[in-house]
Amino acid sequence: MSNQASALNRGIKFTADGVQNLTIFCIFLMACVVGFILEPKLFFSPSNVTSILVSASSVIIVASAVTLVLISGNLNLSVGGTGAMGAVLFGLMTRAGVPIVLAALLAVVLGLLAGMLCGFIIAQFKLPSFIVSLAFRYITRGIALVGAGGAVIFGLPAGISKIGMTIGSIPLPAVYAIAVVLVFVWIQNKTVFASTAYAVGANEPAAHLSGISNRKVVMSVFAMSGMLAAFVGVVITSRFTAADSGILSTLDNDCIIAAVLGGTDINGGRGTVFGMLMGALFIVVLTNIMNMLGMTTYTQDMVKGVVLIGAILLNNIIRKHVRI
Amino acid sequence: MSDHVLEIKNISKHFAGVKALDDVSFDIVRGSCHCLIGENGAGKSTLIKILTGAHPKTSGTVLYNGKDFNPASTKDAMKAGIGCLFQELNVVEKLRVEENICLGLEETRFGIIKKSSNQKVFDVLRRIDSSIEPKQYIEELSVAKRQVVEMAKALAMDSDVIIMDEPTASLTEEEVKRLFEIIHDLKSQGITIIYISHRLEEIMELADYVTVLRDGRHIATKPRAEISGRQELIQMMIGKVIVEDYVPNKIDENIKLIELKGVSNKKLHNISFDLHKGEILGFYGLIGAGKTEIARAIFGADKYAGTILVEGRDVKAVSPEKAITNGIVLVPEERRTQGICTSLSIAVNTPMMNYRTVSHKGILNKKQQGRLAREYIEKIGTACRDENQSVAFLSGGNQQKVVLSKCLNVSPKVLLLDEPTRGVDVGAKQEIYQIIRQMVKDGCSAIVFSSELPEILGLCDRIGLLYDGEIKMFLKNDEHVETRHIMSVVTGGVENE
Amino acid sequence: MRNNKLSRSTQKNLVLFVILLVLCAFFYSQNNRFITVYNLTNMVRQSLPNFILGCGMTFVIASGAIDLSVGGTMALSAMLYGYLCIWGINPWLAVVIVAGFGVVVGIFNTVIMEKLQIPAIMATLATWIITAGMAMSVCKAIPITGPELKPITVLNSIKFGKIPLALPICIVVIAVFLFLEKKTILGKYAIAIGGNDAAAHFSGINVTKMRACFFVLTGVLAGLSGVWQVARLGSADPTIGTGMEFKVVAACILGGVNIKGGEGTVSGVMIGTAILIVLTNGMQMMDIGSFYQDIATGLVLLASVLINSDSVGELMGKKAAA
Repeated sequence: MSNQASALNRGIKFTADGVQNLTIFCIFLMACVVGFILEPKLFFSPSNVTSILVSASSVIIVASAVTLVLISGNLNLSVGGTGAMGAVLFGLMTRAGVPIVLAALLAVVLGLLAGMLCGFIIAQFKLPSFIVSLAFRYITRGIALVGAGGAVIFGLPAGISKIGMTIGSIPLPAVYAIAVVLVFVWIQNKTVFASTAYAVGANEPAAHLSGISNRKVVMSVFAMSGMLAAFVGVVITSRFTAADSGILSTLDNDCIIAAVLGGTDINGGRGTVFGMLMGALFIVVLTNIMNMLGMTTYTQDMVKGVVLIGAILLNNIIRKHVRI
Repeated sequence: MSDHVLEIKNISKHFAGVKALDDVSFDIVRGSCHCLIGENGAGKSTLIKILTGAHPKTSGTVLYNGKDFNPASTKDAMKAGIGCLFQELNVVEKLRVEENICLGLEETRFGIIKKSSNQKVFDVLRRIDSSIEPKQYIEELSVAKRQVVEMAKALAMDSDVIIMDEPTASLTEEEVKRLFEIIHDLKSQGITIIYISHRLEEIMELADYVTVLRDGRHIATKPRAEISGRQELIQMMIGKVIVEDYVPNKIDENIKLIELKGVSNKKLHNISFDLHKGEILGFYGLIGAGKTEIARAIFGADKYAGTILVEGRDVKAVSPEKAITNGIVLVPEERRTQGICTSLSIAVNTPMMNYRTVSHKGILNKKQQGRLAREYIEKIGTACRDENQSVAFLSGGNQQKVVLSKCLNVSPKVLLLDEPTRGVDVGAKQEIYQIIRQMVKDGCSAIVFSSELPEILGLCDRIGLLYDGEIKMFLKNDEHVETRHIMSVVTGGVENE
Repeated sequence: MRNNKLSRSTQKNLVLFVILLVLCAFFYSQNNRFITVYNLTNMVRQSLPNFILGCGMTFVIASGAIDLSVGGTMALSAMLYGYLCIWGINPWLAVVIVAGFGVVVGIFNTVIMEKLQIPAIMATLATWIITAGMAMSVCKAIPITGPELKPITVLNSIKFGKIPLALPICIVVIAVFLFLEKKTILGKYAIAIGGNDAAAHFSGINVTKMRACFFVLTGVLAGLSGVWQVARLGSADPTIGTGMEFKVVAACILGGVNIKGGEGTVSGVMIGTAILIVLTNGMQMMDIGSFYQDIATGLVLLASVLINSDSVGELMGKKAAA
């Protein structure tokens, strides 16, 4: 094959992933256009854009890692609980006078350890990730509830609000979200680790016979998602200067929806962080539009479920027809 | 004509241009035990799959009890009366024997199971093996008894033909005897048995008729009485072996790359051998002889007792990961489920055993990854659109080349090849042989595990013959090798027959 | 010779039962109000949905699927029931309509699972999100009450001596499901499909149809559970199903149902449900903050899935042999 021909081929290649990313990107753009038509003055105003980014930030941050969990062929139902645990531990530590940065760091490390333990149990004993992460969902949420006495911890030092504040017109959570997504797009595209995650998710026995350690992969992806979940808990706590044990109750589902919307295969082996980003943004824009239309948040939840089914259907169609 | 339960007329089956069955015709007499023999790839399993409705035939007709028979699925065939004992047992472990036999056949009223269902079970079980209690759970039964339950199930479905595919593969001698008694009983009740086995001893003992297939063609169907002995069967099975141009490799007898000393596990008994530098060692045996198990033990994928030395060091092989760092790679038996990640591209599959050449400190260099994949595509001659093509859309031969690329870019010292050309077309086969020869010329050693004799004879310097998890003997590959002798050993014959 | 040997599932159930008794004894020793007719029947009254959903979920999980939509279905059924009553429909006819709604949800689950060819877990997750959202949105998250809901609360207030109606209801439902499990094709086919779906298929079982049956079962039970919660609370609250799906799944795992399918008994699940409920109730009576219950549930779930796993079993077997 001549170099020219191969270069040409590479120029016009559209893998299933590419088509999927393009599709979700177009859907996202269309949602933006709809939003713009509904509220021409408001929709692209800086305040609306930042509010979109802030409300999407939690899901974007955690789903970055959850996308890798799904790619490796697993499911993590414990990120919401781990986030709440991180928030409460952070609240307790700062209230007890632990320096804010250290407290934040400790909370994030504990989240990481919880995730790592969850991943270890899944890989070591060959258990379904669904059920083990369900157990961790109870345990972590329980720790959060116990720590906060089943409610909200108030009276935290004012200094913690710096972690989640808005500088000028730029909210820090949005900055974190962008940073985390960039890091994870890089991880997903550029690291050996991500390659091994794809291999494990696509064909575990083949990955094993290629010398790839399933345990390393599963432990790492769960550790990452636990870490980021706890981080999100810390950020939310700092924004409210109160640690709420009930936060992030729908995070698990939201992360899965964002990733699946972005073309991640629920059976593993396929998906991109960029697609997830588009999926998460689409959901938030959709929410924004539904707010404009005056729908209640509960109706919006319902729509999310329908969108999830639609996304799976769309993924199936793309997989069937893009045969490259 | 009514004493022919099945009449097979001019059956052909083509898979993507390959003729798996070519104009096969023979009849099966009611109430007989009809044995089907042939080497791997001779077309036995394709024929069975057509009879049981798993594959449609390309052309020809099957008459079952005198009527045209075209089952759309295995379910259809079973309903019509052709039962099949699969190698993977089709029983539900957590149900009782009676529940398994009745499964799908329960007499019910509004979904409630009537007591009368059980009477049938007692009858059927008594007909074949009264030592099995209907109330026992399947999980408490041995493999042999599970088979009996499957047979009982076939009888409960009023089958008059029961197909048995290698039923004795995991049975003890006692159990085999018992199975044969059951087969005799069934025959006396007018049931027809189609029996497939590699063990010619069994064929000689059981058969009323023997049909030999070779390369998808029907060679002969003979009554047992007209067969003089095993040798005749072997002669018909192998015909004339066209041996590839075997070229001896330069072997350094002083360097032992791998030594096995008394390696045993569930499937293997006391396996001992050495692999020298520059050698291609072959293991030949039929299905279930233990080839895959030896490969997996060396590769660290299965546990074993005994010692495996790699370059003189005891590796206590714990994982494929360690084996790969020791310079051993495996081309696994099942390409789709063990060899490649079909949803991923060639470029992503290629460095899977060795990310070092395409990465630096854990960071992937996509350009290098692409370059590596292209290098091996060219080197090995993989036909593909480009390196970003999904492996799922390649042909079997090209998928196998991707597996080889994955293994070869590790620069291995030892190449383990388990059925390297299974499901690969003839042209690609030759190319794969060339690649293996070239690798060995470049300083690698290889062990080929195969159930295709020409492959072994064309490639290997030494041949180990396996039967039932044991190495029966080693042969040096030269012009004195007798294929008949080899077939005799791997089908369980005595050496000096 | 083998007739005096107990089957493996019976042995497991016995162990679970002993654990249940030990737990009860422990809580009794801590607070002797734990074992009183009032407390025991009260537990049943509060947790009737856990028991009856557990019955249905046993079949679903044993057949190799899972139904996460029960919590949402339960909440939406409660709302539906509330509105039906307020619209003036006979409260007992309304129960039948709600049960019919459960059938629809079950079929919906089967259709998206089979048509989209996705795992049950994703299909029912979507249904869960939809039904839970719908329940909240129809009433704007405010429980609906009214004199029209009064007739059904009679279910909660009827007592036979000291025994509330919940106990006989619970016993009857369990008895019916034990019958379905042991005496009808439903129970056998669930185990067959979950244990070896190829064998089930070759035996002529219509796997899709059976799956639909199982999902319809959980759908109907979730609907009736919703009605029960209306009867108990006197109002239709859209949050009553929250977390229900996981509590029921946890009880199934604890009760020895194999999450991969092919194994599981109604009796085991009932004991598992009882253990989780006794644990919750007992901890409450010991004045341990109710927040510890989640941790306890998580740990119990983790322990039971570990004990039932093959690799741990292998390890223990090896130790016993050595």
